[in-house]
Amino acid sequence: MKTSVNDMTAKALRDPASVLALSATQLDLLIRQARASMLLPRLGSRLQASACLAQLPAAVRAHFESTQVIARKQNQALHWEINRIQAALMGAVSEVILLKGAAYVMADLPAAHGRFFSDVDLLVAKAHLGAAEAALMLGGWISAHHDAYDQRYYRDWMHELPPMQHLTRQTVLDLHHTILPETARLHPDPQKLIAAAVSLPGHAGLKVLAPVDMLLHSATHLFHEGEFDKGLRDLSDLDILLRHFSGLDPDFWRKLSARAMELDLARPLFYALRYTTRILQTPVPPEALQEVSRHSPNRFTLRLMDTLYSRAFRPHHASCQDWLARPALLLLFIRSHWLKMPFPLLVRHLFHKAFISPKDAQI
Amino acid sequence: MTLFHDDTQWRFVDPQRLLFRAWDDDTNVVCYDDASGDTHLLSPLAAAILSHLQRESVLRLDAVVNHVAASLDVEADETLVLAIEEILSEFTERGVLAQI
Amino acid sequence: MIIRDLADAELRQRLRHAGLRLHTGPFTTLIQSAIPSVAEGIAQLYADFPLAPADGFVDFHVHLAPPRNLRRWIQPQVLFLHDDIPPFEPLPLDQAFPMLEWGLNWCVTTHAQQYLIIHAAVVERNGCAAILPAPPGSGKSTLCAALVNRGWRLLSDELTLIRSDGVIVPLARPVSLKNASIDIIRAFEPTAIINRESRDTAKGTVAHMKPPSDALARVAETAMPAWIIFPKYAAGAITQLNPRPKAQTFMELANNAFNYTLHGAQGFALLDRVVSACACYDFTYSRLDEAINTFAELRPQP
Repeated sequence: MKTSVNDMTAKALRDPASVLALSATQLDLLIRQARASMLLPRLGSRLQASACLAQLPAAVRAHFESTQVIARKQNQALHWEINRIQAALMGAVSEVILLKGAAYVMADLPAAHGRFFSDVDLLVAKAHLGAAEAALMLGGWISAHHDAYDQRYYRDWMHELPPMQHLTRQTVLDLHHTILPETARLHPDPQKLIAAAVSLPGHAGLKVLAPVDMLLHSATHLFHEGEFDKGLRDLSDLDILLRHFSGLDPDFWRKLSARAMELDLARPLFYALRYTTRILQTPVPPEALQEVSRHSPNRFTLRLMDTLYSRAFRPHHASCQDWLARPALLLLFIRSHWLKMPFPLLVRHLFHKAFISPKDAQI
Repeated sequence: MTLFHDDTQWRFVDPQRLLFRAWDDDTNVVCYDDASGDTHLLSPLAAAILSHLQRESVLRLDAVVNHVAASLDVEADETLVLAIEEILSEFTERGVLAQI
Repeated sequence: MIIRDLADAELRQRLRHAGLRLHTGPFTTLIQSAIPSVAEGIAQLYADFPLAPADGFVDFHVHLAPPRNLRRWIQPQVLFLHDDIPPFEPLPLDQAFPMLEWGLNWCVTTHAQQYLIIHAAVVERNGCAAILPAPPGSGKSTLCAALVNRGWRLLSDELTLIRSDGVIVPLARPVSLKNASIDIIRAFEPTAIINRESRDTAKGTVAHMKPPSDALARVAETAMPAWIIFPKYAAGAITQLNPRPKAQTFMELANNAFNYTLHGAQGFALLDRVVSACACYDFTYSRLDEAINTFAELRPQP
């Protein structure tokens, strides 16, 4: 049944014990789907937490063990990277806010467990951006994109810094001063986010976003995203954050809606709650869903988005791709750029990327 | 000519995270740093410096020079001091030691 | 049931369609390919390998196929795919069988991090394993091929798999030979089965030798590491085994590992365990028969 193959990984996340009923062939496919979606370590953690991992055959467990080795190393590497960033920024910038994966790890949130990390994302006040960039360069990070066009894309048009890469460790760092590019249609006020940021105990100068802001940031990025190879993983991050924060604070849902309105991020929140409930059965109270549905797009757009996003949130694996998947992903890619860039700039950018810049040998 | 003053001090950033291993057939030591994930091959000089610091918990440049000179049975001259300073700088750079 | 038990037509049929399922050391591999040289290579060199059941769990799904562009017909190429994704650029069709071997090695080094994986040959005698790490061109593969034809059991020619408890797990796949070593081994052991050469590869001329049958018969039998020997072939050199300090051996072994840094503190402890248990040497030689004699006299450290 095609439907159940598309839902196999999501179902394993929702109900880890159901994995024990799968045949060897189905387990084989599940491992491959989860790996392709960057969810293998998270699935492993879930199975471990539900005491199911030990009941799986040794050959299946071996794949989870392999991926855990990598996830543990990345956790260590991330801690070290933050340590080095703190050392570099000491004296230059008084506070820096960690975003996304780096925040999950340093705040020890459940979303950090069994997750792969790549770049470190930092947010500083715009006024401190120059000092931060300079201090990082002294610490051995250099701008990763040398192409003059790319530098302009980032600095002049998107009003962002290009990613920075460390000379010896090759690790990548993204320094932000807003959570969406300045050219985007939505303008959440970064000052408000910075003002509400929470300190990390034991780490002077390091902060993370307040829970509602962390959630909204993650939701905004997912629904402005152009590439969905990590779509289901990012949706799963949202599911975990929602469950965790709502469990700590009964007033969380009301605060979340209120903040979304305040920051002009109600539409991404609407999509976030819609798809986490549908795909991962996140326990969102009906009142909260009703509240955000006021910010739903019109019915026609919504149906289109459902069709597109249902494909985007499938595992990034051949077994889940139907004839509609590629055009759907392309439409979402164009939409994402449209959300981030004025139309003339967008056309110029896509042309340049397609025909002039050297292609990365990314597979 | 030397980099630091006699009374400059260092400490381990986190002594818990270093693992050492040595064998009888050699004077070199391998050291794993659990914070950075790096593994180092320590010369006898570097190993002597770190073991001195493990005992003393704070390291003064003049004290370590004297200790090393005594334990390796060499003269406490400028060459030795420079060699020690270089090692201390390297370890500081790698986040193993911090200057106080 | 082993691959030799399949009729040639049946072997090709499986490769072309549902895939050939076989056990490769501790892994189960599914190979799909319509390319004739791949079927030939498998029939020749994988004859002793056990088949795996049609409905079992598979670790690596691999496919060797022509690319979907002009290079399907013009200067034909071959692509290696793992779970439908090609990790490397295509190669000339003539290199399809070596590409299978390189691809299967890639699968292990990429998706089997539960092992500490050293880039080394490893052979066994009386339960004791000799690990032979060496950069390309040092003669490690020639030495390995010779040893396994003179009483040593092949555990692996390229990837030494060390389990978390310090035990070496055999992989026992075909032994790769390059350039001059192909003829050297043919002369050294005329009964050895070596498949047809692929020329102009990145490593020169390449062929593979079928693992001796006992390597497959005993593939489930693990071994304890007893020696770490860094071989170096040098024309005219005196055959010599020189002890190597353990601290340096540790660092060199770590540098020759694919995934030492991934294992963090546990990797440090595991490598310590292996190095401490082994007698460590540098080994120079110029004559294979002398090398064999030296190895025959090896004793584990007390």
